[in-house]
Amino acid sequence: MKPAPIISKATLKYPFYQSPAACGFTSPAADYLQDTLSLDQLLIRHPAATFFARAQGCSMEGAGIFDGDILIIDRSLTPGDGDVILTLLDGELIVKRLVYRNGKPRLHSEHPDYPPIKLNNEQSLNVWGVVTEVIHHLR
Amino acid sequence: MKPVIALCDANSFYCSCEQVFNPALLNKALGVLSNNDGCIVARTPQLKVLGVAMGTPAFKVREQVARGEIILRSSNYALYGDMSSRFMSVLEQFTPTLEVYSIDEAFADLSGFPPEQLESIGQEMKQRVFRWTGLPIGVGISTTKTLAKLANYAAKKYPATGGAVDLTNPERQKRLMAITPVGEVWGVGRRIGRKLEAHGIHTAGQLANSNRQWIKKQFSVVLERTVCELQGESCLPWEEGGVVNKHQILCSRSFGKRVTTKQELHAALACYISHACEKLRNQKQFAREAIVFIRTDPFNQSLSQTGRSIRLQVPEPTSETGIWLRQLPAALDAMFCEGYEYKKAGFILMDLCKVQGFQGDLLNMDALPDNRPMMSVLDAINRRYGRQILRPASVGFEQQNWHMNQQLLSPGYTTHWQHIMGVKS
Repeated sequence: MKPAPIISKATLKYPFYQSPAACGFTSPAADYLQDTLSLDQLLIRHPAATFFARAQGCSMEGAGIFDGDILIIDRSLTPGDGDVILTLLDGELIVKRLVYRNGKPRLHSEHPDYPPIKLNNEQSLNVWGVVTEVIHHLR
Repeated sequence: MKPVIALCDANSFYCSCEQVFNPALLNKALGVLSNNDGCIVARTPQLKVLGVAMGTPAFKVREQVARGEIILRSSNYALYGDMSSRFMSVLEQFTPTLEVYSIDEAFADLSGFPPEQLESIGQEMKQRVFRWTGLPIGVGISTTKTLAKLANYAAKKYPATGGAVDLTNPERQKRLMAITPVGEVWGVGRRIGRKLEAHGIHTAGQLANSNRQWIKKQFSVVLERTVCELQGESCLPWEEGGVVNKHQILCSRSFGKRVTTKQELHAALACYISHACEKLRNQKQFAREAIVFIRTDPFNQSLSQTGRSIRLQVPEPTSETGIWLRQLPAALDAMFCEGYEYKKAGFILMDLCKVQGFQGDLLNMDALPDNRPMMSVLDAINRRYGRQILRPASVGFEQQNWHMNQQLLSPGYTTHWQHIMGVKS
């Protein structure tokens, strides 16, 4: 077997035609061709402040967050009562729902097995970012 | 009217990037290593306190690492590059005129803001960068670049400042300069500092008050410029376009008009790439990594926003424009989205090394008069039979031998889907 010359493929230049050669009528839809839909545009408001993380565990299933789901986190948002947040607790990043009771923050899970976490005096609320979206794969 | 310039730089930038995604590293003696895990090139304050100097070889702290007193990481340029572009794009929300000076610092033009608000704008910059990116920064504001650097030094040195200092007031400048060692002045450094001290100039204030002509004669026109700048006369030009320093070369521009097509971005980036490579060759240096980025105008929040960056790598350090250009179409394909008005694009050459610094004469562009035919044969063979099947013998025969030694590499938290951080839920 004789190998084809190496150089030919590397140096041959093919012209690239943006539109196909004309045969018959041009597509009547050509003028209406739009850009495809972008998920970034839909899901990301502040690119510089947006990060992704993978959920591990089942404590937030009631909020629609399942083990293995991808979370979209926007750090630029101010966390408010009822927001699902990524927070730093005892040196660990965890996902919980932020709930204010009598002006005091609590971290709620969304699963019957996990009771709410009241922050004690040594634990201050340290929010990493607000979880804005969940990407859940169905297969 | 005098210009107002803010110098914003990230604290222990590489270390901070690691800490954002790994809270276990917070408040630890952490160091980030240079390529091939050679020397410590970034340190947290906790590591500095242990007396570990910049440039300490990794093996010298081996025992402390084994005991868990010191944590080391390989340099993760993909992560740092991405975090850098986030940092810069937050700064651009404050001013459209930004000079990215290096991967972790930028001069921002704040001229036109009411003087009494400068301090709080500095605080706001610091807070917003931290909130959006997790990176702690310091902000120094003054009327020249050198004074802004000095203000930034004060912001870091004196915690009571809250990390942002407005040094536009001449009286305040004098008071700070009187207590600042001359070696801390931007552009002075250790060697010139010692020489100045031999002439009885110990503080920044004494340097500011010295005779310009004498400085020019005894030292250089460069140091004379520093003196002018300390006296409040702006001498260093605004370089939005391209900046050279020893760690990386950056070429970027804000577009005069909005750019919406891939072709326009390609043309612009091709230009920056050839520009950056030219500078690289002029410096007789080679680069192994680069970052290319495109983004919209964060100053105009009424438009949809996007900002993407991609790291490019080559197996051997190169200064050949074509090698970087060849990677551009694929990079743009991955970054570009229709429907956005792009405002800025740029190209950063990183991981620079000197010509003598590597063994790779077969790929050394300056070693042969015209190596392009050779390069294309080489590339073609590699394309057909697998990447890097042909390579300089001096590199060795083990597979992937020339890949960087990165045993302590953190994940590509922001650049690889498989690497995004896991969080407990």
